[in-house]
Amino acid sequence: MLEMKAVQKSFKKKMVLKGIDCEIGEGVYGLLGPNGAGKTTLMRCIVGLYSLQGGQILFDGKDVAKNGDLLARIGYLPQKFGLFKELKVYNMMEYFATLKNIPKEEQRPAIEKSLEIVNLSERMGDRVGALSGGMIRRLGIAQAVLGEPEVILFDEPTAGLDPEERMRFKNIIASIKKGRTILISTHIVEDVEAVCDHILVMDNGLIVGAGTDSQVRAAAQGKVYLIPEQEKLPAGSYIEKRLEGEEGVLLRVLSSAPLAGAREAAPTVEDGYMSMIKRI
Amino acid sequence: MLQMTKNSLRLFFRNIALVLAFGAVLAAPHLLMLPRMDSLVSLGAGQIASYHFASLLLQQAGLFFLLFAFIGYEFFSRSKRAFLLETVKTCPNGHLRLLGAQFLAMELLLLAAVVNVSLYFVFGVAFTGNTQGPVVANLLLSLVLYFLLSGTVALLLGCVLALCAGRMAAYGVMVLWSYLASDLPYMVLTSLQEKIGPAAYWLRDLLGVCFAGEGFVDPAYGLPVEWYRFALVFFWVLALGAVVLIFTRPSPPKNRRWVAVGMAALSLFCLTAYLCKQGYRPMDSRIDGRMVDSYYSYADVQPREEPAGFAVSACEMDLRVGDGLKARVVLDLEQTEGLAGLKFTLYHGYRLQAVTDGAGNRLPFEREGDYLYVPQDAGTPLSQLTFSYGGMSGEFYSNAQGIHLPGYFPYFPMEGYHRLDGGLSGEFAPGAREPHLTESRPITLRLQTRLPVFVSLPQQPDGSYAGLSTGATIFGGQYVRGPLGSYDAVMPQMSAYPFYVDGFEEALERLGGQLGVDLSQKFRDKPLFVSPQGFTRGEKSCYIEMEDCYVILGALAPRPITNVIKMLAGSNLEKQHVAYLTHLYLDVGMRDDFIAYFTGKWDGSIPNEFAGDLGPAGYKEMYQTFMDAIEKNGEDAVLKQVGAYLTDDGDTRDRYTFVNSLME
Repeated sequence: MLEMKAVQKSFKKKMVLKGIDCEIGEGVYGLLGPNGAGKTTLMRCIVGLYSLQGGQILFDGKDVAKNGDLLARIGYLPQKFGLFKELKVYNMMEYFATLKNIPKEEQRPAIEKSLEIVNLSERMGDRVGALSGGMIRRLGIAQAVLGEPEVILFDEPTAGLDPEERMRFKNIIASIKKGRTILISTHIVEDVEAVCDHILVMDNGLIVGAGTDSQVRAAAQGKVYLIPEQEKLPAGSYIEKRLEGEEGVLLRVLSSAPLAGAREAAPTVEDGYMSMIKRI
Repeated sequence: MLQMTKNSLRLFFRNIALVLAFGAVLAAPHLLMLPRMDSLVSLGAGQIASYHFASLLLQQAGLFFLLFAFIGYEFFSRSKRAFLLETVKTCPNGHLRLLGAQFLAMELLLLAAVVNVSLYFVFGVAFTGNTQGPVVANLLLSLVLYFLLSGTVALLLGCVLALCAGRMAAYGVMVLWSYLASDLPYMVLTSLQEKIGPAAYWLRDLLGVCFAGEGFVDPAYGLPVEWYRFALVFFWVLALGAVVLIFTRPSPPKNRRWVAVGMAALSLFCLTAYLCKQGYRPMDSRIDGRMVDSYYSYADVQPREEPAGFAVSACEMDLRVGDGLKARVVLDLEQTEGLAGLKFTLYHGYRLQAVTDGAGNRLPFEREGDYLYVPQDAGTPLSQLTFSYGGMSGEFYSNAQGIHLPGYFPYFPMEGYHRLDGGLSGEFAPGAREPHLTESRPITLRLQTRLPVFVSLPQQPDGSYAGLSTGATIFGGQYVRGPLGSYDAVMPQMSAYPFYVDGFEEALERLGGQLGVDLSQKFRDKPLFVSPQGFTRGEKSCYIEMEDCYVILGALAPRPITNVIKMLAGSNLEKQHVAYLTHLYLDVGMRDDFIAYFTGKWDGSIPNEFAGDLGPAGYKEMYQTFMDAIEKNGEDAVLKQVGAYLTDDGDTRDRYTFVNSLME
């Protein structure tokens, strides 16, 4: 169980995390938020890359900042992830296995298992430089799951991946999630929807909403409308999308007040997310 | 860790740029040495010293440093560029272990490069047969200091720059460091030193972990491996190591912070020790450093030559040579009544801490350059003075690696003012390498040093040295005592050239015959202290006679044997001029020019050896008269008269009167 209690982080005078309170238990959690919300900063605070200005991050009740050995139970794939291109895949994984203190005799089976999970077993003898971008990202996932960590953090894991690789990622998550806590930070709602049991919505350094996908959807209940483009919109409403169809151009709008000339639409997770961050 | 180190080496050798850089490191010593090997080897084992190969390679130590800094930076920054440092954050001490494995791999490569360089060190020892323990130890220490340890500093520098700086800044720092630590900025530094003093060299002193110096290599001193150079290296290793520890984790845990603080504190201790060193022997062009003579080109102090007006009846010296020289000298004085103050000469390089009287009372003193003045009350003439001082002086060194204190050099207070500038004013005058005192006095010397030493005074049963002399000559370090030709000599163990050259004794006998003086006992009646610091400029004698020894600067060689003539003149300045004139006439290298010029057969520009003497000082007439006398009365007669003039203490004629008398 990961607990964050009033977590605050600032860089010089800019307060990036303004008091994060949440609990993350077993399951897949999506940390959803726009760019600049503080998702990566929160991830880095959890793994101890940054020190906190206030609050605590607890892992099974113990402060991570004071118990550095707890980090050995956490796997981490950062947003910007790279490898030594000159090394072979197996040698690169050996690096990680050694750093994770996996005993020498157990390294080979552990590496093979991790590579199998991400479907890179056949590329073990290839140079890292010969892998595609998606494969390198999968290799990153392989190092994150190496050593059977209890908690795995993925920071923007699908950024830049093609649809096939994104689908592959979702399948990998599904295959490893049992008995683990997985936290995925992203700004792509579809990824969160497909794979996460719980969603944390973050905006401007705070958690502005949390729940299952149906709970997030429910946050936009009664607030989503489809309205012809030419209709006048009241202040405080937010245009999500512009749709072209048989009825002409319609706008999908979020509004706290009913809209004349509009029909209500069933909310999606994206609608719920937008209503939280736009405070509608 | 071994696995990661292996993978780090794999990583290294799969990068073309890094492999090329390492190849350059390996190739550089061979590119320097192989073209020179033929000429060095053909000189023969007896003509070159084992350190010769090493000293050539030391010139490359700066390049070695720079290349390893580049290699270190490029290799360590790969982890940062690959964002690996963030990825391994959750691994226990991930950063440190990742960088540590890479550092270990780099150290292995550094070791291979050092072994590559050492091939020539080994060859030098094997070829010359200089396998004595101190010689081999000196070479080994220089290899460790200038290549292995400085290479480690370079790798750490590369690591720190990789963690903390961008590429442009990193390359700028590396290039600037290597430039400042080398002999390249020496002209700028010398100019700066004229304006701001020794501070001009401080930065280079601190950065120069790989810089042995531009200075001459004294075979008795060996390659410079003083303790303070190691202190400086360890300062950098600990300081940079502390930075790496802190920067491998933005908020390091307490224990790592404490380790970093401990390393930083130790590094400051090493730096303090370095800055407080006493026995500093700068091996470069700084004004008040390498060469005694260069100091006088820049010093504001007017050279003085003034008699003391009092006498020293006894001298007791307690010298401790460790880091530098710590001296306590007690002089018993006579005839000090009526003097307003007492004049002494003590080389300016020593720091004088106190002057006390016989009762232990501190006395005021004034010091300007080499000149020391101790005022005294008219009513209470001083009968004893104790001087406490310390330090070291350029090529007259005294530290844990070597001692070179000839008795004529004012490493102890000499009564009177004596100019040490060697006639730079154009006036024919003695310098730092001439005896200045004429009256022997009983000297007792107690010497503490770890070095094997040779002292010109006889050793007493209690370990002290005592005897009659104007100054004790002390040589310590890589010296050995043994026969040199048919003479008893103290000479450097590791010689660059033979100190005895065939034909010396024959040339000496021939000279004696020409002057009508018996020179058969010259150099046999006292031990020779052969200094590797050879001086063979025309006006300086290679042979300096003291009461208790001869100091030979250079070699016992047939040329310029005529410098022996100056020894016959002693301290009489008038006779020294005549001796010099005769030396010019007789020396095989200058004789033809001298004769041609003064017999009107010269058709070139004035030979340098006596050009200065023919100027406003007015010696031209004297030289011409000498030549005319030879033409009139014959060389044999004139030279016999010169020999008689120089050796007759009762003959007090000045130079002009004597030379004019040759025409009679």
